[in-house]
Amino acid sequence: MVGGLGTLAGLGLVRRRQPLTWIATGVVFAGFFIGMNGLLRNESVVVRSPEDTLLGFQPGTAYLIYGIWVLAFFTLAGGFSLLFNRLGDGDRRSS
Amino acid sequence: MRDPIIVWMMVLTLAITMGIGLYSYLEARTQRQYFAYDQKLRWFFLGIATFASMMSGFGFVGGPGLVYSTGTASLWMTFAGGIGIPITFMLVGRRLRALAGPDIFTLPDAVHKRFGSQAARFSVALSILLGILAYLGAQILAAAVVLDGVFQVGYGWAFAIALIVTTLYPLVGGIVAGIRTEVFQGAIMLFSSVLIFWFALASGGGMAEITTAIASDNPALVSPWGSTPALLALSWFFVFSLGNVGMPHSTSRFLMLKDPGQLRYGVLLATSAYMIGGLLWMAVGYAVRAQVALGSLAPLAVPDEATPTFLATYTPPWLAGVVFAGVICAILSTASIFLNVGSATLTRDIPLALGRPLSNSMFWARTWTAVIALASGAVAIISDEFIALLGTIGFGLHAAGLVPTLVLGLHWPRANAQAVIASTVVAIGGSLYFFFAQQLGFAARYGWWVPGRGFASVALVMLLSLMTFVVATLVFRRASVEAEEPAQRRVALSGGTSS
Repeated sequence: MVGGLGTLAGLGLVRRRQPLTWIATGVVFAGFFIGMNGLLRNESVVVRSPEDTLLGFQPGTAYLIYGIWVLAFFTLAGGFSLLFNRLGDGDRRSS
Repeated sequence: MRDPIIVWMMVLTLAITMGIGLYSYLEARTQRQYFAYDQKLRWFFLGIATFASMMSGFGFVGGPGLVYSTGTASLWMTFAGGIGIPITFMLVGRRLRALAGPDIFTLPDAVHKRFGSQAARFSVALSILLGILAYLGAQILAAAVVLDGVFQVGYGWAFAIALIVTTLYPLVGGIVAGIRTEVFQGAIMLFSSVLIFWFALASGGGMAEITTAIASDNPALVSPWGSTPALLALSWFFVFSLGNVGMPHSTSRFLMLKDPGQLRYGVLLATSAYMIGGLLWMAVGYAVRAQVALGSLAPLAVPDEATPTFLATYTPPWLAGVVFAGVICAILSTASIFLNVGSATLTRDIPLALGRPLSNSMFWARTWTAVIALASGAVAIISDEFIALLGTIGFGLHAAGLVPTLVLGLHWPRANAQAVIASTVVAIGGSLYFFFAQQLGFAARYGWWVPGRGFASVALVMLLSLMTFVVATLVFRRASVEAEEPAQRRVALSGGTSS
């Protein structure tokens, strides 16, 4: 899951000869990894009071929602939008 | 229910929908207009319409019910569906747009252009049609339940009204009516999702308090996998993210685009809108479960009562009116596109695949729209208690039948028509097998095999279909490569600008 989502995000973000885009992809990859790691480490945590929650959710679920799903929403939608933009520019140049 | 505010908001929503839909008749005079929006679709309509058709009535009623009964497990469906939108845009958006042309505006058309095979066109059209008949029946039944709840006119009359409303404007205005009404319907769905999310959090005193209340009753519900096995949640993620690519009501829009440049903002808008819609799915289910755990509400007899119970107990009538309008919009938007895609398969794809194109195609387009609606209505009446299960088989058929062809077939130069046909046969056969085994209880009664550890059968059929596609491509590779024109293949696979 981490590999698949990270690769898809990288597909949208990476541009050759632009090191900053590789760093962005690395950060996203790390985000997914931290999210999955947090999910597995906290999946059995029992919530007894609101203080036991993390950003409103059971800690393992919070890592899942913020570390994987929300991150994937933004990086995939934003990344692919950038990619379509780049491909569109390529189309215009070639036509 | 029959609150005057709710009744009038519903009447107003239906009247506006019908008005927009019927007015679209003026721009639905040719097949290309009726089935493909004259291939002039722009990013705003693409984004909102994609969200509106993907978020069906299930998202407003069945989804919160699933959160109520399985907790976080259900979110592996809705959020995976949201992630599936950009994946769909990425994997097939440009490829399908590149195949589009004046005579290529349905998915089976695109498959025919890519593989040069009428048999491949026929098999894809058949899997689309079978899935639509099942899925559409579920939508009509859901619309009848909502209309009966609001108007309280009796189930028979509600069913008749649902059938007429669902059918009339797509029949008259085709996809032009479908997409324009989806923009109106999508706006209502977004508005109601945001409001209901706020009210749901307020009802429990905030997300942390809601989580704590649920955990005090059943800690598993708030854990990352919910109350289901982890394998089921993961298989739902697989099906609802990658499986989205196979939904014809979503992917066929790529053949309607004015130009590929519309994808860049369309993907952002559709994903953001779906994400907001997913908040309703999550918040209502959690909020009702928390109130049951606290003893403020009696346990629900049926999980699907989560949304109506929440609206009746924790929201003012005007908001309930907006949300019920949102529910009927979600149902109509999905149903109208299904009707249109189904009509295209019978008016265009199957006759062309059989070498017998229909004359007077616009007459047949509207006739088949009515016939499909009536057939789905009949399926809904006959199956009644099985209708939700038919919705499942519809989704599974589309996911397993179309994902291999669209994902592998459009990207893998060696892919061939035999692989399309073989994977489609596996998808139809596998979906029917598990429908009988699991939904109709043949596994328990006659010992039919089903996957263990909670692994979703839809995911298994999709995997089998993908593997069949790969094997068939390798086995039939030589014949296919020799038969195909290299230049034609390059154009079909280029993903560049339209011809």
